[in-house]
Amino acid sequence: MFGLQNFWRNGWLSFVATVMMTITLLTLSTYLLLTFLVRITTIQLQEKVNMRVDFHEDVSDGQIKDIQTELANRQDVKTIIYISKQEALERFIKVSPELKDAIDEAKNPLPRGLEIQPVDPKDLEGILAYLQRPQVAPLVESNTYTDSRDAIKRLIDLTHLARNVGFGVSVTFGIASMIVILYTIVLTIYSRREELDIMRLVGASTGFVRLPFLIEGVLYGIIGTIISTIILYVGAQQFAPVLTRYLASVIDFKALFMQNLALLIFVQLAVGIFIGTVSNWLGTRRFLKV
Amino acid sequence: MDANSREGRNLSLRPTPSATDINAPVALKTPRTPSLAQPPKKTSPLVELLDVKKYYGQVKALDGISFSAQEGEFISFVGASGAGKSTLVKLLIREERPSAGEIQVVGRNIAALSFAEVPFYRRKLGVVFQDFKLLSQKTVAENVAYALEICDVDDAEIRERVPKILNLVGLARFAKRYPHEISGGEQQRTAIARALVHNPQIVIADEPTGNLDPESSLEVIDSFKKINETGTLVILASHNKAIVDNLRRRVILLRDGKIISDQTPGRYAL
Repeated sequence: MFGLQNFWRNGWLSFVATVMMTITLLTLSTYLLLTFLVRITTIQLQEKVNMRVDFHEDVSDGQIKDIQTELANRQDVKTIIYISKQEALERFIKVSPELKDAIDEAKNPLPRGLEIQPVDPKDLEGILAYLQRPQVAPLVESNTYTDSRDAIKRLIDLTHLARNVGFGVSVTFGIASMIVILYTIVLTIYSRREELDIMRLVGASTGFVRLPFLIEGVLYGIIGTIISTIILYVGAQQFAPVLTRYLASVIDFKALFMQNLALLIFVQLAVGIFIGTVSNWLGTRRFLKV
Repeated sequence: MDANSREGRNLSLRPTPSATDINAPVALKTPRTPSLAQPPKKTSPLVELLDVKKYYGQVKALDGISFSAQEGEFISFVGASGAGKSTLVKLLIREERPSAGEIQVVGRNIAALSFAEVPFYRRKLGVVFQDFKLLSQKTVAENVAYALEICDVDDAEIRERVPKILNLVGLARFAKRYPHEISGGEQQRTAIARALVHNPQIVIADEPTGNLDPESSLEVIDSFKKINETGTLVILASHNKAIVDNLRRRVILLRDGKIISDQTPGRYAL
């Protein structure tokens, strides 16, 4: 009751604190969304990274089957698919339809192979080591990883970099915003320190003096969340088509936003109420002296 | 907070529990002492200071003050600026602790109160300040009600008692105004209403007329006389000669932190 009253009657200060809270939460949510975006992009890119192993003509189906079983049992292999000569041909034609007539289906020259999807692109190194063992190496005609090793490595490094930088930036911004909002609230309390003195001098207990300030803190969090979510929602509607186009349809940004809306609201509320109450608690503690 | 309030209720500073009962109706018109003509009964003193000293660095604001005050007394502390009046008030409301000596209020040394106990002690007092100390964000009625809210008085009781006390100090029509919308005298009467609404046993006023014109000053002092007639101990710090002389009650003269004279009825003579 007093919390709400203070909020309205301290119009200007409440306004400043609410604006700061909104900016803080908006920054936080934006970085959160970008982090989601980077994560999903890297996951999707990683899923595109796989290895194709082709075997010599004279290797028996049984031998391939044995290797497939052994690979399938490895922890770092997510999926493994056997590609028959027929399958290999179909894939080839799909990629290069103009060469369809050049190939005699009866004398299919394409090799049999295995398509290996690692749990993590990094795991391809280990899988390659397995394939290079003396028992296996002579059977293998070629593998795609050896050819694109450098490119894949660079991709892995890039996605890690993006993830770490994204995380670092959000943590830095989060801490910076927290300090700013904390100081804003402490300043609003500083301007009302006389009020705190009066309350104490007429016999109000510390808890009684503080409670309205804590409620104000909660209000900053709730109102900040509402405003920031509205801005985010409108922003997502406006920029989603641009972002989706930029991301080359890897991700539907609008869908991503809507899927994570509940989480975003929850995180904003939790962070907003936390910062609001902690700042008010620290602020009132600082000035409750008499 | 619960622990504190329980502790606070045990911290009864009044000898008669019925009189301390915050829920008791406002009964300012019923004198606790039969007649003003009779000197107050000699019981154990409500307030007793024993060789109290307060130093601010090298400055001796109070230098060995001793006096005692009974229920029903009206004591004026007079003296020039810097004589120690305000320091004395600060010590009595436990805004500050003495550097040495004891301050007993109903047998309890208030210097020993913990930070958490202090609010419960202050609720036994009614304090009026020179600068009113009203909450600027609250209306006249809300300021007065605040003194009851902090004591956990229920809403119905507050709705009943606040208009009564505002009537008594002649502020009923300003109930919904904010402090900055009324005159200094009206603000001070609001502060007095706040100091009285919870029926304190001791009222302490620090230069309550310092910022007021003569007419308002008389009204304010009249309110204190009325409170005193109900048996409440009034401790007034003032440098207003006319007011103190008109009271014809006990006057304690301070100079350089020491008591120079203590007379009943006294006059403000330097």
